[in-house]
Amino acid sequence: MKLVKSYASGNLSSSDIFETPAHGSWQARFELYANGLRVRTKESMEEMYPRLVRELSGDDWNTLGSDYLASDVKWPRNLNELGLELPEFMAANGSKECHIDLAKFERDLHLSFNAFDSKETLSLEEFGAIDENSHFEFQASMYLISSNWNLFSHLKDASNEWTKKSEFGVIYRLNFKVKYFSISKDEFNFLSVLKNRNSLGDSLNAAGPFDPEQLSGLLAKIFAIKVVTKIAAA
Amino acid sequence: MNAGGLSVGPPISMDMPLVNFTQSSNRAGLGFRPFYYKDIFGGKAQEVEFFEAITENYMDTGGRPLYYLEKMRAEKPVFLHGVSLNIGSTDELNQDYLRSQKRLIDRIEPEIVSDHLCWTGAHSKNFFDLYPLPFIRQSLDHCVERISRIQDFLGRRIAVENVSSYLLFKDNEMAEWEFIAEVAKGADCRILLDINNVYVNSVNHAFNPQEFIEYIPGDRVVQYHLAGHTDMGDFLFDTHDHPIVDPVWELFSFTMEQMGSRPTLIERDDKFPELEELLTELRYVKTLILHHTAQGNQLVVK
Ligand SMILES: [Fe+2]
Repeated sequence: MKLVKSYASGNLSSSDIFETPAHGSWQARFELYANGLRVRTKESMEEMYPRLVRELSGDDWNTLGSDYLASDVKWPRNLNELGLELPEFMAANGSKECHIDLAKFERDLHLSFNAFDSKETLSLEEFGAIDENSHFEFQASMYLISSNWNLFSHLKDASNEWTKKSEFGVIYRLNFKVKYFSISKDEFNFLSVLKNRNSLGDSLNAAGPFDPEQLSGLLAKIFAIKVVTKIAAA
Repeated sequence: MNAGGLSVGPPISMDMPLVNFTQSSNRAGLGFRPFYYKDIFGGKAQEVEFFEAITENYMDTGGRPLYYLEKMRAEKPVFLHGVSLNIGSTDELNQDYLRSQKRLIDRIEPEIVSDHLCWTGAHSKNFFDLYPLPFIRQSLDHCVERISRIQDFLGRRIAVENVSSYLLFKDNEMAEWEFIAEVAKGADCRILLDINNVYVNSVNHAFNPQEFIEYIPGDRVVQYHLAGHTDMGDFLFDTHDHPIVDPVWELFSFTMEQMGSRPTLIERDDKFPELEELLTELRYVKTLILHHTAQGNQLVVK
């Protein structure tokens, strides 16, 4: 990096470090290394955040990407994970809240895809054996998301203007495909508490009054997407 | 681990001979790339005799990548090829990386574990490229010491690969082939000989590639790489996105005449063609290997 920086600022000359190549200039060859880094990091970030790239103008995205890479961000050993800290960087550097939420959503899709899941899942039939003291365990690939913006309608159609509106959802992985669906605020609160290893009874209390039909509908859905791995007594 | 009828021994440990291949040195393999998962698991890659996976893509990852790697490992030998071990860097060896690498090795039991003789990052940043080292005594000792520590930690020998490069340092005290041979002897490690990289460097730095091959201690070479590159006019760029060119095929034959056949991998990392196109190249690799084996050049231990 130091070399790249000294080169960019014109403080590096061929006589300092490199042999004059047999053909062509050393600068053309040095550019290859410098360009390679730019291209690879850009491609990796764009793979993780395709929707955010479309959302921002080319210049805004390029500036955000290069500022992020120039910051103290941890560079992972896997190039595919270079962008993992982008949402926090955006939050610390005054990006729009809706864009931060979109970035968080795209990062969760990536994390869900690569999560270490348990091979065991429970079916709806085992649901009968639980009571209010039961604790649930979920697949690592299950993520709950919340936004103060119309994230899901925007995901459905990017031409929808961003507006303030609380939206919630579940990201999950089934047969190695990552999917998502939206849920209500109560359902989000209930699942968040339950996922945090609290009992079914406590989770229901935390979510406020919960229509029993709505609860059984939600649980049926949760079992159908095979995210429950274990149910244990208190 | 069941390897689908192919003969795969236990993982090679430190006290085993450097080269222990018999008929297995005649194998031809491909990189295990997501682009080809569908074809591979659809039964279209039966003739591929081993796969080489990029270590870092499976180290901290569950989900589909690891699922497919384990599925493949149940069928065929898998080699693990790293790109971020950062052997030549001045940064401390990354213990976290090594622990994670060892976990993957324990899980997959690869026949060969390799990485590159270069540096890939500094100041705790990984730049995802293979940067050239100065071929001087100081960096030689540095690499020897680090490879020894890596092997001690992993409890097995690793293979180091020669990289393509576009620049040479003014301070170089020896040729690249001398540097590689000395590092391998000093660290008592193996060599993954990338024949395309030898050729690319021979053009970029104007040397005779055969001289390079002749100098390499064959008894330490456990695998060959073949790949395509891009002609930039003034120099060659190692892009792994083209078919293998004639001079590289010729150098491959020359190498086998010198030190015998080894498991040989075709590297393709970009502009992925239909699998059938790679299989055609693979069949040619196999033909050349068998031709050399028939001539009694199977394995020469110097
Ligand atoms: Fe290679």
